[in-house]
Amino acid sequence: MNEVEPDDASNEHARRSAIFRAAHKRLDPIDGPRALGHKRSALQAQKRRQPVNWPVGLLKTNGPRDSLLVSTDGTISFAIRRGISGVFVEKRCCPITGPRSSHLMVFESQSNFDRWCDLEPTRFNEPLLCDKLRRRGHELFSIHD
Amino acid sequence: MTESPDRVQEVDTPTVSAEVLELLAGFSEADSPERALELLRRVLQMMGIESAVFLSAIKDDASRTSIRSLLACDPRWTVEYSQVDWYDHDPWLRHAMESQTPIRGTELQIRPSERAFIETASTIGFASSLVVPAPTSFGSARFGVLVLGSSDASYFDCNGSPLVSIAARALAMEIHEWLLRTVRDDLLEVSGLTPVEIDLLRHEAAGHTSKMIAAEANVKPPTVDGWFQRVNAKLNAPDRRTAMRIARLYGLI
Repeated sequence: MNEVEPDDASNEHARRSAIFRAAHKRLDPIDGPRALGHKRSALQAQKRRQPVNWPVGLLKTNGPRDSLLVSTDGTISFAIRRGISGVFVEKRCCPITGPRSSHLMVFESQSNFDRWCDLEPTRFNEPLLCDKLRRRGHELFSIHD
Repeated sequence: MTESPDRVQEVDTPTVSAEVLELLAGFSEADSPERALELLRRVLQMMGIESAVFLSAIKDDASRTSIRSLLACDPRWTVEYSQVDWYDHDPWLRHAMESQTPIRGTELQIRPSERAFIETASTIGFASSLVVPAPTSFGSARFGVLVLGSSDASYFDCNGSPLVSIAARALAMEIHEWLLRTVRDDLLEVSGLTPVEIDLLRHEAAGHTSKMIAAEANVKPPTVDGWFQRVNAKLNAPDRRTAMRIARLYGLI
């Protein structure tokens, strides 16, 4: 009869509990993110009030003629650059709470761009930002034409 | 010269040709969002479809979702979308979360809170629509939806060719694949995660404890905990499990 040494037994137990834990973690569905406890939620909320460099945007603004225009509170930004088919604009919204979003669109003509600028709700809270965006767009359209 | 009624009918019907499939293959080589958006617009043009919007949603954590969209439609759409918190009342996103079957807009079960969305969408090029989910293996934590639209209210009801639905599905999946690749590369660049740290996250995904990882790396468990703290900071995650979740969602592991 093979006797299990105490060391072997504890190793075996550790191995089995690790396997159980691994299997348990794998079964845990990814689409149900864990709700944080009260303290941890508060800490996370505090962290979120600080600016976070989180990549929600798609459009790169590395070129000399590209611009990234950011609102005073940093929650709204517009990336703008010239492309082959027109001027590409990406509106990024990263509010303190709620979903982060980015919308990428292209304007083939300056009149369409102006119409959109006239409707853009940011013009009420950030008139200077919208003005800058409009001027930058016009510059890019003049280069394009 | 006036066109014959037959010709007009031909133009008004969405079509799928071999060129459309060739263009779809271009998404795997698209190296910028501009290129992807241009490809989308060209595909729509070839299929004879007026407007489209692609939305991708990633549930980063319990309280935060990231939504990215490519618009090939009236830009007023983004104005309306961000103005009234449409994310919570978007029946297209809801359908994509619950199902993987393409569906006409008229077949959607609209809730009272979603009526305003549908009414406004119908005024900006989506009077008739085809909603095409782009599901992933992560369920409602990561999914996408492509919506094809027309200002003609009966466009997709009259032109319900199965080929259009199949092509739209392929288009949705190609765009989604491109988008996920892009966000993965961006996250890698911004976070600055090293291959060793990604391996560490793989250990976490496999359910390995600090002791197990430490034994393999010939270090002490607190050292492994320190490595994880650095990874958590890079991914802005409160704990290693959330960091692993983010890494999985964004395709890093």
